Amino acid sequence: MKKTIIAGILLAIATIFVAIGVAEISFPETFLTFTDQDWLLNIWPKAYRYNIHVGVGAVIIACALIHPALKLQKDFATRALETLCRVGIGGMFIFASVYKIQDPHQFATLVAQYQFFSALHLDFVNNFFALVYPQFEFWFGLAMIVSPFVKESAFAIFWMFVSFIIALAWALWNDLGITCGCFELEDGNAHDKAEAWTSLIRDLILIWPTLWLAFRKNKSLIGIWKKDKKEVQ
Amino acid sequence: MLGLFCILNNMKEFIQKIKKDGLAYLKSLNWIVLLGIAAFSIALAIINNIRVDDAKSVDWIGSQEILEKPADVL
Repeated sequence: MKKTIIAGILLAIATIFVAIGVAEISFPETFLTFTDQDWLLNIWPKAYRYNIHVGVGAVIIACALIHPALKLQKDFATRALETLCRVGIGGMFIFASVYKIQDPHQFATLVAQYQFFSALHLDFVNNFFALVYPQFEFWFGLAMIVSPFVKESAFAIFWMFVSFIIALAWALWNDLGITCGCFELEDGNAHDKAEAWTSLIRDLILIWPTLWLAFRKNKSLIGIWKKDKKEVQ
Repeated sequence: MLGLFCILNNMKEFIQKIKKDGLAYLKSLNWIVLLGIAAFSIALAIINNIRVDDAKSVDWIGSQEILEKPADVL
């Protein structure tokens, strides 16, 4: 029991660090970030430039905390991690899809700025892709949280992450300087190259828990916490 | 020469193992669920494009214009 409590505390702290890490990398200027705090900027005016470094550092600390939690109470930590990953990644995909579903035209404009389909001479696919992809994000994200089909939804989300990584690497390689369009739709025009970098780093981090989920047994979120029949016997 | 042969042989075994495991994994997936969600998403995408305002909807087939990159992009 004592081991379970300690493992739980370690995982709770790790979750906070992951949330801080993702916020620092992807959502600077939110309440979870440090690098945009006025008190820090007064002492160190260039602190805001290091949001990615702080974010990656926070994720590394989180991984370092997960390791002893797994050593202490493997069964509990694995179940807790699966729950957290499913809710976190599924929730993130649902959140990311909402803006795109509301405004397909803006998202289609944003997708066109990647110039990926035009390079493949598949221009005609652009609009249909922009219509369908957010729906995939929403429904596979929802399936990951509420359905027992974690393997299937994680498999689909894994390939979506692969496609994001390819698109962002393409944008960086071609020096397009476009906005990611991952969570909010701006005017679709080029803004800042740094955003593509932050999105790429975030996706490269989040693809690993998704891959792990793709090899888990199909169970509902409640089912994860139920003891297997073999264990009971 | 013998070393190279061993490396190539191990690599061949490794590739065969990955191929076998990969196929076993793909077979273990519930394709009815996967394709069902995909088909459902496509149907909803079509409905959503009809539902939204004309300003926000897009042609089914086609692309959007590529905007000019501003000079002040970092």
